[in-house]
Amino acid sequence: MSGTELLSDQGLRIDGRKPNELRRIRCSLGIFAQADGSAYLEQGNTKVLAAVYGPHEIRGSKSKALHDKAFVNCQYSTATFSMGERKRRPRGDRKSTEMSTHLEETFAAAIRTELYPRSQIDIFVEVLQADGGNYTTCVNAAMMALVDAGVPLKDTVVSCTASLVKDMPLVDVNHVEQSGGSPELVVSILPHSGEIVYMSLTQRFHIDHLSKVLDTAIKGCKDIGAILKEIMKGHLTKLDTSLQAS
Amino acid sequence: MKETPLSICEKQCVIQAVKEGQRVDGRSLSEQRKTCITFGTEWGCCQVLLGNTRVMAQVSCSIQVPKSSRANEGMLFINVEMSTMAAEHFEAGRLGQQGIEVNRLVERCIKDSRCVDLESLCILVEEQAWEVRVDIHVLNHEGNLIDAATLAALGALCHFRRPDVTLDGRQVIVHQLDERDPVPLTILHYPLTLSFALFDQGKVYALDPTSLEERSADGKLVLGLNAYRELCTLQISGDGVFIRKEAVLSCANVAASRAVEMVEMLKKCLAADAAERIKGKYDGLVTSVALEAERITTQSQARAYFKTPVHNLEGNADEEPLSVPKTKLVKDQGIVTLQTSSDVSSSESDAEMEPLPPVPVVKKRVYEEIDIGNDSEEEPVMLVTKELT
Repeated sequence: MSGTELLSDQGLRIDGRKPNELRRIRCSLGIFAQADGSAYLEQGNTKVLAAVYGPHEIRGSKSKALHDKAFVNCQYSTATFSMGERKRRPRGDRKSTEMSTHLEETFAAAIRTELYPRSQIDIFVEVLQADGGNYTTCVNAAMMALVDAGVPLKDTVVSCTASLVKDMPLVDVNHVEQSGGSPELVVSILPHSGEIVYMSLTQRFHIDHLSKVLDTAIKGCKDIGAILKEIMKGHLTKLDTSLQAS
Repeated sequence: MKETPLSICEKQCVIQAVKEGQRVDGRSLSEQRKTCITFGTEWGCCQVLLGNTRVMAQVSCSIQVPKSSRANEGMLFINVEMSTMAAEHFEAGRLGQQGIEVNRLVERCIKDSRCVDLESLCILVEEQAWEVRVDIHVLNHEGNLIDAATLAALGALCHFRRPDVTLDGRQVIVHQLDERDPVPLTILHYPLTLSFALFDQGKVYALDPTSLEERSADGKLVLGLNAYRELCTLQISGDGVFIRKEAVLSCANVAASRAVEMVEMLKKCLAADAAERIKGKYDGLVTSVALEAERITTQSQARAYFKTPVHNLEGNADEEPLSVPKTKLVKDQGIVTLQTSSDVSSSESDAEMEPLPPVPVVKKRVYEEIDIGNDSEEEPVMLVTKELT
């Protein structure tokens, strides 16, 4: 797809958004009874379920135990019906394993793992519908699930994507924009300190544009963080009133 | 086998040294290790030696049915193999987490940046196209596998020649290598990766980390760049890494200038290899052995015989110590120079300089000759030098 279709002359994107507009975010917490914490997050058409178990004793090989901190175990899985063509293996292929590793590293930086030595924290993420920004929605959903589970965090982690079309930075890219050949920069930050925990780039653009696109992504992260904070507050006040009533 | 654990004092030594701007092997923070690129006798075989990290890549091709979504393009597959030969903690057969990371980064840098023109690999739309396969073997792991693997893959792709193909109506004729010269792949740009190890909450970074530095670091920043200063890929990874935006931008600038130099070096090595092939004398990977000649010496006669000065420990009363000529700092029209006693005649302030003391006679040094080569019972071994090739 050429650049003219991704960004029209009026400055509107393919789904009618302006370049600095995020997709609609909808979230609900505490949907699973079994898991310690769970969340369902929608960013536009990307729908993700996250469940958190932990901290608990290490299951499986005891060799993974770390003597001074908890070990974070993530499983990233995409449902077979999540994309346009049926996906044969929901997990276990190289891209899913790579995503799982990145999620583990992102959360190992945010969770206060030093409080639970020799333990394990499980995060399970399932992508139900993939429309661009799979990793970002997974991070945001898993973060909400961690808050729901009550796991101590150094700071919340928020993630966002940004792209560059015709020298105009776009925030929160969807699948059509991503596969159209435009570069995609994914950033995870700790919103209060502004420090970057994870960053990755696909496709290519000139190094002079990096600063602009990075700024757009960081601003997008902070905006998403503010929205998720409101959702969290709403959920906790609702929980509080229902506990008081009972 | 499990990896030997890194001791705390080793880790802290590396971290402390890097914070002060020094590295364990004496390099500066933005200096790379010595890089050697050599090519094999087969087209598409490239070996890269980055310090002690050794990686080899081989390109092969075959005709397959193209993907239905991209019917007019060929295919490019990148596969990384890490066996226990490279490091004791690598599993034979299965790629561990580290292996998958290397594989994905090389794929993103080379395949996703579209440096190979895949449309030129199509033979018949929707029916036949070339599938180019890059197999990267890690032979020795001494840190920074990603850079070595990408460089090897790129070198191999640039070096590779595929058989020439002609279309006779709808029939495809693949010419043998002796019928028609093989055709090189169309490379649109040369993307390389440069890895930085991040220390101290992302404030300090070290280019081209050794395996010790990698294990002591908080995290890693990998930048993929080509000679036009375009970013092809970027990744920050590592549990517990925090980095600020300004640090990322400064790393990117350092990496951009290094990438230009590396691409120049790769092109020079390719040109040198092409020149050697035209001359006809061609040895393939044996040339890499000659480049490391110093390491393959065994029982060489040159080392077996040397002279040591004999020192008399009791000391000699009539031997006077050598005197150091008197020196003085002189400021002359804003330029400060160090004047020794020998410049006394040319200096204007003669009165300040003391007269030279008489130079004492130094006894001739006695040397003792020591020969250790003949003690061994082994046969003399040939020394591999550059002259051999």
